[in-house]
Amino acid sequence: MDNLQLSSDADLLTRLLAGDERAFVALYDRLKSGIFRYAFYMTSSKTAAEEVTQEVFITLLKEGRSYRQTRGDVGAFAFGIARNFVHRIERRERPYLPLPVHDSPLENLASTLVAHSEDLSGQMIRDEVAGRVQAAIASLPDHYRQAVVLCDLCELSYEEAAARLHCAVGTIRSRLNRAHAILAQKLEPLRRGADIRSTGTEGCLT
Amino acid sequence: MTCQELNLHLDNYVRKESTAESDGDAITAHLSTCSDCRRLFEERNELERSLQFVRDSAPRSSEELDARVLANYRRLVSEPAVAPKTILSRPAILAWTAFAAALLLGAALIMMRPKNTVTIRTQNPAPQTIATSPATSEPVRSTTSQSKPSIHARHFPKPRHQSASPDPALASAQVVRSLPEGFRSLMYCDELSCAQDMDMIRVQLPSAFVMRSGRSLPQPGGLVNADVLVGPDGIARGIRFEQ
Repeated sequence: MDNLQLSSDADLLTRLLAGDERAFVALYDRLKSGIFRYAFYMTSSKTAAEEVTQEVFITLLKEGRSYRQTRGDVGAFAFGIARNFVHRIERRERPYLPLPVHDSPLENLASTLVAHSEDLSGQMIRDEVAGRVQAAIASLPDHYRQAVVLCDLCELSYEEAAARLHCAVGTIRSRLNRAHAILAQKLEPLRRGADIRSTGTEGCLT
Repeated sequence: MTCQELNLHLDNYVRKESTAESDGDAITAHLSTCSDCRRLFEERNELERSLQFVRDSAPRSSEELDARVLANYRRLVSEPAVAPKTILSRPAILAWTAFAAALLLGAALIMMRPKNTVTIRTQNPAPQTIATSPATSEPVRSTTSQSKPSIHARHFPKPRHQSASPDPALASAQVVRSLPEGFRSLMYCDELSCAQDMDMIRVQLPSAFVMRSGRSLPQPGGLVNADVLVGPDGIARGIRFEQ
């Protein structure tokens, strides 16, 4: 019995295309999380992220034979597919209002209440901050947003992000630097709000 | 360390990633002295904390997704294999596109090529087709016209010459051969001066002009139809009066 964990992504792709279901499951487990998170951060929607993830693997099955190892690893190939689907969803959703950060806030709130009843206010503040930061990221120009999502949220290294976006590492660095400056500017009101909140109303009343 | 250098290393420093110890010390020292950079550092630190909230708040994919993807895989694998599409590389696509464009261009050039027909306006009541000079075997379409002296031109192909002869005696004979039958030469015409295609223009001339050129007319007065061969330089080479 061969060890799938030691097989390369390219090897797994070859085997799954030949009908090896275990190879497919192994590759899916490796790539799923990254693709889902990327799609979620880009679309701010769990439903859309799942749709993208599903479509990526269907496309991988249909078009996997066109993969060439010389043009990058399988992860980059799958990322390219995911990026195309994300753009497609963005075009589709553009005429409508921006989606909320979570698909079902009430459901999330309920789960938060159950899971973090002892630290409810802290959790709500964190969720609020996360929502605002995500909205600020969504408002960035696409090339900055890609860099932030890949490096800051998906936690890829600069080299990996550069390979995914087909650009130089220096380009990623400069885009990230600029994106951070813009984000800091956009989130300045949030920081000031946090300072006021930490001070509390007592300071005003006393 | 300068502010610019600090800016380069700040992201790594905030993320506590791959910052050399010496760089870390230099950054700390710089931050203790530069208020602007300290403010920048605090902003980035705050941003990093906020990004951590975003990372923590990301949902996990559902198990239904796993089931759906696996079902898709089984369905696609069980389907009969489809012959793989022939994927053309980009250079091949470009080459085929260029070939198709060349074909289209060639077809367009062929369709736009000047036709060897001459439309002649005459005062005959009914249209008639007459033969052109021996150089062109194609028929000439004739239309009627009641108008005053008029000119109508069509492209006339170059008369077919025999091979150029160096003999001067033959050169004068070439003058005759270089014009179609029935045309009188209006200028010296040889292989050099009449080598290109000519246009034949149908004109109507006053009969007095024709008589002045020494030609007798059965009915003096009025207009006489004539065909004039004009070279690409605009100079008339020959003339033929209608019988």
